[in-house]
Amino acid sequence: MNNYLASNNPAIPANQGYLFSLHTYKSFSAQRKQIRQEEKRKTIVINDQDFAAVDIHVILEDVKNTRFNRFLADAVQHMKEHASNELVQQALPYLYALNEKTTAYETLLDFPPLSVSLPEDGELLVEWNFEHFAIGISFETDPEQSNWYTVNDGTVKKTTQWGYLSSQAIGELMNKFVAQITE
Amino acid sequence: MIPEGNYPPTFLRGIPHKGPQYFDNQGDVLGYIFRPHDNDLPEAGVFKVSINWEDDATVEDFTLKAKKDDGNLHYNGGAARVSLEKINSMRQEPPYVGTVEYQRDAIRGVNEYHGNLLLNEDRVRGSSRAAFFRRLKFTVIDVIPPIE
Repeated sequence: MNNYLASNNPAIPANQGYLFSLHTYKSFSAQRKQIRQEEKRKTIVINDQDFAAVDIHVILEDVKNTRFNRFLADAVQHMKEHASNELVQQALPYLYALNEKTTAYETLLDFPPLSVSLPEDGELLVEWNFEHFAIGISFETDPEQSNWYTVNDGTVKKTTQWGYLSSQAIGELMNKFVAQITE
Repeated sequence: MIPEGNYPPTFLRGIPHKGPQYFDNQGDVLGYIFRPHDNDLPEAGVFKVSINWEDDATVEDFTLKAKKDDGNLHYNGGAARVSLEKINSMRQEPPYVGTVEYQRDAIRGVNEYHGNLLLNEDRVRGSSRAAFFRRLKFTVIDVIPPIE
């Protein structure tokens, strides 16, 4: 628990820091519980079956109202400002799913922010870079060419994998990513 | 078999500019600095990517001051310093065995330090592309800023 945690929790005013009474704490605690319940109700669980069945526009509508967690927020904003609409639409469902998977760690773990780059016209590279490993997705104008990876620098026991997005269900991919960053 | 003793511990890879092709939204260099140019063709399944072996303390300055025919600097994005030890470590990992080699390729009278990274064509393309370049990024020690 630190100031960053307190000031970034929507249920706790930024200027409160640690200095609040037990009564206030209980009040905040109740608010947080309510927020968690509301967020749970809003959550769309994207797993293999769901993604195949859900219209992508439904997902994008939900993305519009999503508060991206602090790991992803800057990257999503940068992507929307600089990448083509075609690539943004391809990427958003994945970032939404990653957001859903990682928001629980927002106040618990000191992850770096997600990185975004545009290494070529028609290419959007989203990477999450840790000291000894990284996960990433390269979105291409031709979605069949879009690919993902988990790699490491050889000093840690992590899995090296890659493949085309088209042959990887989004739910399974998110599970691979989360396994990499939390194991 | 590469004669390891003939190589210094580091080499430099020039970065043409500071644009989003080579740096992410946080200003970190991308592994795509090792990507061959679009018009480069592989020879016998290998792409050559130019580097300068850091044989002495002058190579950094030599690289950063390199100019194109029009008089402009070659590397307005600076240069990445790469660890040969890290490259060799990568070459021994099962996913990358046989995918990365290197050589000296001095251009007599022009660039005695010149060499190449030799990258397997199959890794540079297809589903392994982003993974391969990201793995190469782990071999970068630091990025030397360009001459202003």
